[in-house]
Amino acid sequence: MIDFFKGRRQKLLQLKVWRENAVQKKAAPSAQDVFEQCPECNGVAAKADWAKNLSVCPECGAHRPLGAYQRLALLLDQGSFRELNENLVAGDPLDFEGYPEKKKSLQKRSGLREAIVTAKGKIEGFTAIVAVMDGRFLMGSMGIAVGEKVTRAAETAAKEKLPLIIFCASGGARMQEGILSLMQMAKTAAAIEKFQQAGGLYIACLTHPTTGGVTASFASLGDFTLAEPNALIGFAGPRVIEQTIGQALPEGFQRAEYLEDHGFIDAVVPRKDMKATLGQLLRLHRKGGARHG
Amino acid sequence: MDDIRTVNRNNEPAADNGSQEDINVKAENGAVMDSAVKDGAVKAEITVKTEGTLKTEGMAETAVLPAAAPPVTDNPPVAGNGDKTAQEAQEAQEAEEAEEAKKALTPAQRVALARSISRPGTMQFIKALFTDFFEQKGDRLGGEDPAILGGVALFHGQPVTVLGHRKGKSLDENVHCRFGMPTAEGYRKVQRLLRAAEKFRRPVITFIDTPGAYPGLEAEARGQGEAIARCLALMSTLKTPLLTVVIGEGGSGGALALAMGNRVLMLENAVYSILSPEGFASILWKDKSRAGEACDVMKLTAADLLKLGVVDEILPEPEGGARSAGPGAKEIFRTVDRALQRHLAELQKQSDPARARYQKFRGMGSGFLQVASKENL
Repeated sequence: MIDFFKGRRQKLLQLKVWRENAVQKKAAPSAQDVFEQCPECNGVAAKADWAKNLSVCPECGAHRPLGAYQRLALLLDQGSFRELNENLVAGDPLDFEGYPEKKKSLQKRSGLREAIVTAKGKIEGFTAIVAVMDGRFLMGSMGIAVGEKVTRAAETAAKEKLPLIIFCASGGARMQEGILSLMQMAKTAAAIEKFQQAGGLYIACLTHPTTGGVTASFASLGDFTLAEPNALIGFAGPRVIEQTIGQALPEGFQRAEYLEDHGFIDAVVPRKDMKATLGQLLRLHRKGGARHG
Repeated sequence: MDDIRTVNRNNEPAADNGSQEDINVKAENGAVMDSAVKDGAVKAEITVKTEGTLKTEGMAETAVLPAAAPPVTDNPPVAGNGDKTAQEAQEAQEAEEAEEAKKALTPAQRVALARSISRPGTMQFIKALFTDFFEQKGDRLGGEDPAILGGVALFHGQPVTVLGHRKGKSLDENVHCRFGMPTAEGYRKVQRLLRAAEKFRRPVITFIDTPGAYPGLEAEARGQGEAIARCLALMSTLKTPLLTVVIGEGGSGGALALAMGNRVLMLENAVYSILSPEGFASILWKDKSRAGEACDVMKLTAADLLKLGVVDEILPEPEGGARSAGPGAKEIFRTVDRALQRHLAELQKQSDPARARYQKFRGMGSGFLQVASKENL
């Protein structure tokens, strides 16, 4: 019986992954459907090879962005995925022209409701609350719904005494929802702090790109902070900084390795090792130090 | 008018844990979220009520704060009778014109006023409202940022920690303070002062006046984002009352990092937004020159923010906007002083300001949450 539900859950997640992949598909088949070029090294590899390599360039190792469901499928133990607050969305506080329509069309195309998916699942046998942001949904920007889902994820984790893992990928606070997006920084930072003060373990995983209001709130508050190789991580965007200081930025500035050198990240973890690394951290917190996990 | 305030206040600490959990449960069941709907209704009501009247929010505030209204007349006219009436008539006409001008202020005009160099900054407010101010410098981690001004002072005899953005009043000062744009060191100084305030059980009063955090190479290298995030986390648990006054520009996370007040008060012509209008235009429309247009859609004026529940009270400014010198200055300092006294007295009666503050910010934007139907996908 349990196996039956596990199977169902896994199928549901696979369906979501398939739905997500449908975004990139075009009507007529062409070379682009079979092969994909790496924007970093211009190397061309078969799509199948990209997929096998977890969307990491087989040639140069560049980590391409992953869809939220894809990431969950890679990360979670078979059949453990259960989505939380799946249908939670937000209105249009600024009455911003074209915003509701844009969201609707993105929802249709991507199969995502919002720029974040929150779920309960198992990583190497440890149950955790996992939130994954998706950069394809309005740059992964944080509006009211994203802020609320992060907050609820922290609240659920606190209530069920589970560890919290958030994969960040965001352009920052969502402009189209104005000041209330800014307020989500306060809301999420407060929720994470409350969760941590209650003894909860929070692991922040920063992926390309993590910037703006997300960096200046929950992304920077992890008990552990991991990052994918070469991910852009910062508060102000590189272009804005270049304009301010009037000169070109040094090579590698604001990249994961740069942040590691400057003391803001515990480890840069390649995608293929992420699950094992998280498993290790969860195992280390199983007893003792924290009450959770 | 009073209703509006009450509604916004109710958003705040009154919502206890129980009702918050209700929201969660109901949303997870996919049912209609009562409280969201209720908030929505309240919002609609506000819109209806304010459509005609709230345009002059100054009026709303003077109704509540009658004592702050009488103009300061240091030199009452002593001229002859005939002169006096003529003068009075002229004054009345001028006042009327000014009132008209005030009503007609566009958001872009308010942005310009909020950025005006003649507007009182944090330093001017500290000098006018506090005594015995002792400035605390440095983050104790190797840096000092003049764009953040903070220290201990007496507020009507009571020790408080006071913090704010410093823009400076001359070009040299402006450059020295990076026009009020703090770096990571500034935000770490804020953290140090917040911890000290908690240790000595001092209430904290913050003044917001910044275009945003400084977008510089070194600020990034030293963890600008982390420094701001840590400020937010610290403020969310601060055990003493925290009062925030938006006095000029409130731009982006750089402003929010000091602005998680139990009460957030805002001067009538101050602005507070997710990003500067220039930044907003360049991100959304890839065109900085559309900043004026951005001002109109961003809802960054005090009246807009009161409706959204982001600020709790609007403090009226003298005609032509607040100035750091002249008779109008006295008026604005007195208005802010009285509002701070009143709110501080209220907050000090609260048993758990940290919890109330958490609930206040926990509810930000809840009125706009919806549960989507399945068909959309």
